[in-house]
Amino acid sequence: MSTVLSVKNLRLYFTTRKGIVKAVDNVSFDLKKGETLAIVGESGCGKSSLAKALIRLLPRNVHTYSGEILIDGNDVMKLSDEMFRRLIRWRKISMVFQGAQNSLNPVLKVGFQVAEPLMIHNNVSKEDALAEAKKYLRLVGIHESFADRYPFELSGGMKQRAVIAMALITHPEIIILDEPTSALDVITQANIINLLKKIKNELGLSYIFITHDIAVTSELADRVAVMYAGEIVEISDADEFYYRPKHPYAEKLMASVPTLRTDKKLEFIPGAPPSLINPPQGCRFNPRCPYAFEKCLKESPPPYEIKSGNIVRCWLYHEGKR
Amino acid sequence: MFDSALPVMTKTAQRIIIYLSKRAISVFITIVIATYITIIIANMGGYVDEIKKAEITERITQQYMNNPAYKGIPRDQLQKLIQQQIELEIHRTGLDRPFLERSIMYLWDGLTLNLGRALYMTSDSGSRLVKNIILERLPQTVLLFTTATIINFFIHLAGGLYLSRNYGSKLDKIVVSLAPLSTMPGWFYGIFLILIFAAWLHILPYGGLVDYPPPEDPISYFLSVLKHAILPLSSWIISGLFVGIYTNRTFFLIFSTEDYVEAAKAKGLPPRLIERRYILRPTLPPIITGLALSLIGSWQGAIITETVFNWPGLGLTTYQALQYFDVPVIVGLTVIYAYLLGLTVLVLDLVYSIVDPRVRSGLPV
Amino acid sequence: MNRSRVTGGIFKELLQYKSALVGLVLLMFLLIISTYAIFIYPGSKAVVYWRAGENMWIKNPKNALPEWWELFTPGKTLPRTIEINPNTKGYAMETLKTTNDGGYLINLSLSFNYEYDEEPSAINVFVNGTPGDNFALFWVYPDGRKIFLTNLTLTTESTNYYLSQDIALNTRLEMDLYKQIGKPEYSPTIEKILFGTLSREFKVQKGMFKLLVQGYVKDPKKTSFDLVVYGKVYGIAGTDHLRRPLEIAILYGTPIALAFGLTASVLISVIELVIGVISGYFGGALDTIIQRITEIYMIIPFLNIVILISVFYKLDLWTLLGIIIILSIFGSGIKSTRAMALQIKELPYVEAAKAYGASDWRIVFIYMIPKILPTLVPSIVLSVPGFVFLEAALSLLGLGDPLLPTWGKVLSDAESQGALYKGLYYWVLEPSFMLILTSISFTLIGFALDRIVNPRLKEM
Repeated sequence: MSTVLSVKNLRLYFTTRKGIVKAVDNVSFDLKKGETLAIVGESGCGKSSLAKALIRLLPRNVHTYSGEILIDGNDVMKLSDEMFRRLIRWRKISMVFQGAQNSLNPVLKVGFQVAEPLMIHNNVSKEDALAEAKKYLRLVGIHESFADRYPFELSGGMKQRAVIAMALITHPEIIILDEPTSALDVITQANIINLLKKIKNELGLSYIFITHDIAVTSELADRVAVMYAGEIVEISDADEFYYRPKHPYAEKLMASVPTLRTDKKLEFIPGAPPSLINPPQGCRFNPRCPYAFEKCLKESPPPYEIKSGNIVRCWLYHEGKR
Repeated sequence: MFDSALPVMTKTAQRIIIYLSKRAISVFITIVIATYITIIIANMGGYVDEIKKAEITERITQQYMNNPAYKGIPRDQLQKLIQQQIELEIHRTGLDRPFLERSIMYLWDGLTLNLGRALYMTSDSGSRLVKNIILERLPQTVLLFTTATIINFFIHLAGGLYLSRNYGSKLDKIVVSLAPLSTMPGWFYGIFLILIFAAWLHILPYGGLVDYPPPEDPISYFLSVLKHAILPLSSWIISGLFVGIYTNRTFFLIFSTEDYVEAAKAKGLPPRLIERRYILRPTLPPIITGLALSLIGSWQGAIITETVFNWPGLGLTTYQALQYFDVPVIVGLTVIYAYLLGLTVLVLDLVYSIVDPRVRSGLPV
Repeated sequence: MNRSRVTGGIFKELLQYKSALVGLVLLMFLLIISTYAIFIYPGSKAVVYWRAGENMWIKNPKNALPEWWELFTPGKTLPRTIEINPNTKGYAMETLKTTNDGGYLINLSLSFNYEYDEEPSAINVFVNGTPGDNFALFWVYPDGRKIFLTNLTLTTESTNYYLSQDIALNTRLEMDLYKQIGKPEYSPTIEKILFGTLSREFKVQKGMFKLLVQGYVKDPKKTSFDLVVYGKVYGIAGTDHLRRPLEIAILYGTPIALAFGLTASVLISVIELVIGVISGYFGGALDTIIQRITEIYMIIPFLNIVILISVFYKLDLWTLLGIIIILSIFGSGIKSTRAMALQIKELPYVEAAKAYGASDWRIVFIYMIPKILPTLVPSIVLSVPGFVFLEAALSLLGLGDPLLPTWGKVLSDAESQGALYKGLYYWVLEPSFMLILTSISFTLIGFALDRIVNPRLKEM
């Protein structure tokens, strides 16, 4: 499988009154064609910032934005804003936003918004674009008559589907999905997940699926990346991850997920998520890690490759303790 | 192709018409209520009755005095006759009916703009009808103040948009710090402008509409009016400038943090397009509401400003009516104002319904 | 929620904004003036003084400039009012001899030193005596020249001789002047002639002036003269057309303006808040009715109705305030408070309160209103100047309280007396200055508060 996206040393910091927030701190990973990479983590760990960093949606108070993002071998970080807008956004990468409730412009018709990227990026005429939009709406399970409606006339689930259709219409290779199902009920959630699976296979897409809900990712993910305090602390193949997570944090995470119909002693992770302004010295998880030893307090562990595409940032592995 | 387009179009048009009709009825009821309140207030002391009776007395007396057929009749007999007629007339027009009935009568008069005759004032064309006096002065007010409001609207819009793009820049900070200057009303700035440009520098007139004697040819006349309009217009523009731009800029900033704006950026839409379609368009409803409120405010604010500048519009008419205690004019003005305000609201409702789809479907916004 | 801690926190944050500091300083200044004014005009003294009109203030010059106007006339001192009466020095009465019919011949001299660079604005002589008293008045210059002014006979116990308005005297003096030096280069008013040197060019003669009176009186003990040489300046604020010291209105107008503005602003905002919350919380028919009333209010021409009421029913300021409040409470502020109420209604802690059995009124007044109230503070502060200007505007139209000394009244007097045409700029500048000060102070504070309290602006 070829690599469609390669992220190296990505950093996104912003300045706030209280200090510099290191939302994305030296993140590196690869995405293979046709793969779903899930990125999981607690609120505030930097996952949404990562999504925005990938599509260059920077806030006003950005402090540092550096690293390499290679798509088809070309570093798109080097592109000017205008070139990035024209070549990358919605052509190579598109995004399905968190909270589709508000991702749609309330005063424009749904069909028009879905068709818009085609009109802008591919110079398609309005009629043709609308026709194509209707096709995609059908694809995501919305009747084409809704194309003439306004967002307020659609239910939450339908809006989410519409946003997905919008993300697909220009045939990008990579789709970033930022908590696409968080605001939905369980049944709609399941429907959307199935839809995503179906589309991925039909259209040959690659997903980056960002969420805090591990259970949801188990349906879709090929690999799982765990984010903690702005860093990626583990990337494992999905099967491996759900049965045997490597990083202590991931371990604790899995242990804290309730399972249906089995007796499981639920654990929780003591302590609070670390500040992104002043992360702990050394390994960022050390204050809450049951296995922490001296080295953990002093140095931050570099990625340790377990096998191709699977890494873990933990001294336990470097030191051979695991 | 046509078949599919037509039903959709009429559906939207239908929705708009239904919405507007409902609004028109609503507005009309309000006008009725406003007029009724006016009548009640004015007639609590029986003033309106007195005026009506005086009108009748005058009319009938005139009739009889000027009628040659009655020339020969002795004085006191004539008086008795006149008195009789007056009483008949009072009864006929229902002026001796109870308060409530009279109020309804006056209400109907007011609504149909049958506003009676002024006590002391006359229109420039010599008419004593309150309706004419007022309607004659109406265009001047519209000319000056609606123009001022619209100019302000566009300046604030453009300025606010520009500033919201350059948030935090020096200009932004300057405007923000100068915003407090704008809480002083236009007429207040007017006094100072007169002080500086008329009393001290003598380069602009103290007030009025046009030079005296008014120039003969239309172009000079127009220029003269323009010259006289500079200070009042400026006073309104200066007074609202900073706070208007500031409010709009804050407004646009808030709207530009909406999720769908982010989504639009992510979609790779060009910045100008985003500004137009994703920031400006959604903010149109509240902006239009703001415009409506400004227009309504301008009718009221005109009253003082016209007094300060001696501008012959509705406001000055109000002031003069107050000076003369010309009750019919005062009452008539209130009714006309109610109609003006109602009309403004309706027109803006129309624009609103075109611009905000949620309104058309009757959803609470 | 510890409410005092919240307000304390807000206050501290407020102090961080420089603009707010300036605003607070200005507000302090206004409050000090208000306290001072209430202190020196206790009860309704200020109103009494203001109503008294010309009679009380007859010893003041008309339309006098404020003393600080001298800053604009460098090198020249402007004349202050000089009064010579039996209680001041410079007054000397001499009984010469008695007459056969029981009367007395007296000589009176009222002398004063005049060192100013401009002539006085007017001269008035107040005479008290017995009917039948007869006087001859003479004017003596510092250079010794003596001219006859006029003869006065008392028909009642007092009279006053307004020298400045004696046209016959003016003509005579002018002709004499003409004879002596030819046509003067200045316009020969009485004051200029009586205080000028004998020259073509006008120059004030400095030195001791005397008003000499030779009189035949019935009772010298009952006879007294009061010479008032009116200055061109008076006090820190000058005087108006009725000779009233403007400082009364400027000073006393401050607490009036503040009270008016704050009362209107606070009451209207709070009432709108309560109505808005009730409308949003209870919903249903009540909501619809309130919405309709709000729409009606929008179309009713507010100012016209106020004018209408003021015209038909003479109003004092506080009734006017009440009417303004009634006409504003269903205004546009309700829309936003209602929207906020709708949002808060859905919050879990409100639902929780309902669940444990809190009554609706309790929820409205203890849960919802206190939550929304802080967000209204900026707009309360920001609308104060509006009401102060509204009072001024109504006064300008002649509808204000005719008795109270407010800034608006001063402005309206100035306007109706044509102050701008006559060059009496101070008359317009002083109340305007106070209005501007008030406006700037409240808006600076208000804008800063807005930046602190407004949740959406916080994010930036």
